[in-house]
Amino acid sequence: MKFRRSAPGLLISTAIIVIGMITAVSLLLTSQMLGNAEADGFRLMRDVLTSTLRATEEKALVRAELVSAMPAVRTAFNQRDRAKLLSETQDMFKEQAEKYGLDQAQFHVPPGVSFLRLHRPEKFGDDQTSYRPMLTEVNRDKVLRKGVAITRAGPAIAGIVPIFDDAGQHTGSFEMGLEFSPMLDKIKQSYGLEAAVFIDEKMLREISTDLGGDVLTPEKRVGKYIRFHATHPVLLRSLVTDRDIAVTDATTYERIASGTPWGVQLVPMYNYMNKQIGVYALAMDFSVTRAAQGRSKVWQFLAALFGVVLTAGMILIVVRGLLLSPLKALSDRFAALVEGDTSRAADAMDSYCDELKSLSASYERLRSAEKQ
Amino acid sequence: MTRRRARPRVPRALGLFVLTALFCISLALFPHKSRGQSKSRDTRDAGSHSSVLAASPAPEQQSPLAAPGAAHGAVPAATNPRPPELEEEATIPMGRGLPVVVRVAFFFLELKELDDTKGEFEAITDMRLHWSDLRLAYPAQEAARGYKEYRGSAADKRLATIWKPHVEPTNRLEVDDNVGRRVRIFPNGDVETIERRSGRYKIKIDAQRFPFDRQFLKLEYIVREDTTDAVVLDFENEDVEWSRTAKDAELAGWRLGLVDLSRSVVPGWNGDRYSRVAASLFVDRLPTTGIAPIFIPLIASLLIPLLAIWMNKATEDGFEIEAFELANISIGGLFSVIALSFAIYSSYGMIAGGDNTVTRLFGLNYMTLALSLSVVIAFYRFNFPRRLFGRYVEEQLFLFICWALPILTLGTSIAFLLVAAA
Repeated sequence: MKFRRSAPGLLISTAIIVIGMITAVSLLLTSQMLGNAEADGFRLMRDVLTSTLRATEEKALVRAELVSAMPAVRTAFNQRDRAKLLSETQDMFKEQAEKYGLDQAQFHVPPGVSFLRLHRPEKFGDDQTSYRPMLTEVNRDKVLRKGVAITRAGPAIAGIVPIFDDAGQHTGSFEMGLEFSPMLDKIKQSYGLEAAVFIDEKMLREISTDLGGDVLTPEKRVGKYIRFHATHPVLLRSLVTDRDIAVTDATTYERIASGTPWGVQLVPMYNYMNKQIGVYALAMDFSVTRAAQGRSKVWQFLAALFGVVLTAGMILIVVRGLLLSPLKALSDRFAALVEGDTSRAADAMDSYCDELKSLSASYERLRSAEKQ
Repeated sequence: MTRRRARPRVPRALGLFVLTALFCISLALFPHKSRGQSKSRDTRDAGSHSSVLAASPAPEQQSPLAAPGAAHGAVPAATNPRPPELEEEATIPMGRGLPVVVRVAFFFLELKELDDTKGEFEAITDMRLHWSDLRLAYPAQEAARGYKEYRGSAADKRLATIWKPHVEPTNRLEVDDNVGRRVRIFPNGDVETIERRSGRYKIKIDAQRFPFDRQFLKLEYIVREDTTDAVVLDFENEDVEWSRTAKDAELAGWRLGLVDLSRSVVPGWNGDRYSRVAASLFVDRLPTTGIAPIFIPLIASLLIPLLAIWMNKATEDGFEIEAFELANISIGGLFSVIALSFAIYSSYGMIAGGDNTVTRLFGLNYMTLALSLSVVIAFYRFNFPRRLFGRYVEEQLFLFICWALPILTLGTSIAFLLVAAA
């Protein structure tokens, strides 16, 4: 074993291991902190979706209750006077549709037969009980209901209220359906999240026969779903693909799109009968947290490098500069002296540490004696 | 001099009279609006320019049907006689209540240049506005294609007769006089205008992550003449889909990203608020463009101070080479770094100020120079380590500096680049 190599080697290796461990722990903690921040981001997305959806459902229900409580509307409906009912409500519907994203409004007679569609007055008389369980339940139990529904006019966030005549007899129901787009736009505006709604294509084709042809296009097909609305269609196209969309539970993943890391939260959309009819997708820009994580890693590695280099330097200077090099110099002189060479004087005393000064003094005494 | 004073003053007065007469005749002959129209680029912001174009009629527009500047009743009726029904059509439409929602969408047709030094970009863009004016509704059978369409000068004429939102750009510096314009009026009273312009826009350059930076080419428009109580700029899903770059659009040295729309409100006086909408196209710099001219010289200049250390050798008596010779290398290095900084900052103005990879690397260069000069003075000139700790410590300390300084310098410069790329 050569002390000159093995001693600094051991010390430096120990320093590297200790600094490496500290750095690893520090990196782990930072990574956990940023991971928690991203997990909070996913949780925020779910909370935002839930609360906004609930608020939109409430909005639909409140409007439906307001309209159905109007005496003129109730009278016209209870008298089954379609023309009068239309004249009473048509302007209101147009105004609400243009300003507030009202998508559909419809009066039904029990058990769930369309009496008047304000969004399409010429079409009525069809029985919807086969594919509208929420509507069926409202007319059967005479209680108000709200939720996501797929209707002839497409998917909507609906609120349905029962209508009673003056004698308190149930005479039918009134439904208001709000579009998804204002809800998703609000999410984007308020929280900076990109959002999309995907609806089962088969259901859309079977039920939503009044939908325009521009909805069911191959470009909007993602797996078995149709991208019904998106706040940024181009971006969402790369964030949610055929492979991602087949989810039955809330799913999160991360993806880089156009050089930006995104956290994507997929939430299944259920209808009133708890049957999955689509998927909500929300996406949050993770570039800030990812950049912070990357920067933090680099600075920590650099700090570790400085730590290792400076510690190694100190070890080498102390072990070799203060101990081994002076010792070797004295050793060489002693060896020369044994051979009879008295010409090499010891270095100046301040070149040695206190422990070696006595050895140096002894060498000088020996050398003087040998000279004499 | 004397002869000039002696000349009679009558011819000068006569000349002045003739000039005045000519000026008066020209005033009488040429209409006011045809004078003073600059053919050069408009250096004012967009709003004033577009309003001038919209409100300034061509000579044939002098008829009552094409009376200009009637929006918001800006021009008194006495000077612009026009039928009362048209006067009414040019006021803000209140058929659907207030505020009037104007949907906005943008299309980046061609990106000509991004001058990141000045913080400007030049592009040909289309701006689409869409609003509803029930007074313009007409029976559907009048429009075979589902809408009435006006292009070019016909569009200008039609726009002069109806209300239109005064949407002004806030960051446009220059605009080409050539404007492509199309107006469509739908049977339900919806109006859609598309305006194609080539313009130069001011943007904020954030060079902190240079050469891995992302810049946002922003078109920002505001309605200044009406508060949010009267006019609101907005966009819907259809507008988001329409807002994109042309498929063949490209920008040298940059990778094109996505277009995003955003809306906001600008506060005004006494609680007034104004609607603003912005379309920003993000572009990522191709990092290779900055390597040859900036980073190779910067990294290479880091070697100069290291040479001042490496060139010397510790001996029993001190060092082989005299201090002044190696100090010259450091001083020479200092001048070369200063010259390099002048060269880079004059070519890439946006990185001269603020904290970014280049300024950090320059800082590292200066610090390494200072360290090497300190080594030259402390070790070679005054032998401080030898005086304090003896020659063996000095020897080991010098050896340590010889390998540690390059490693730490190189590690730090790589870290600066990685931080920018993160």
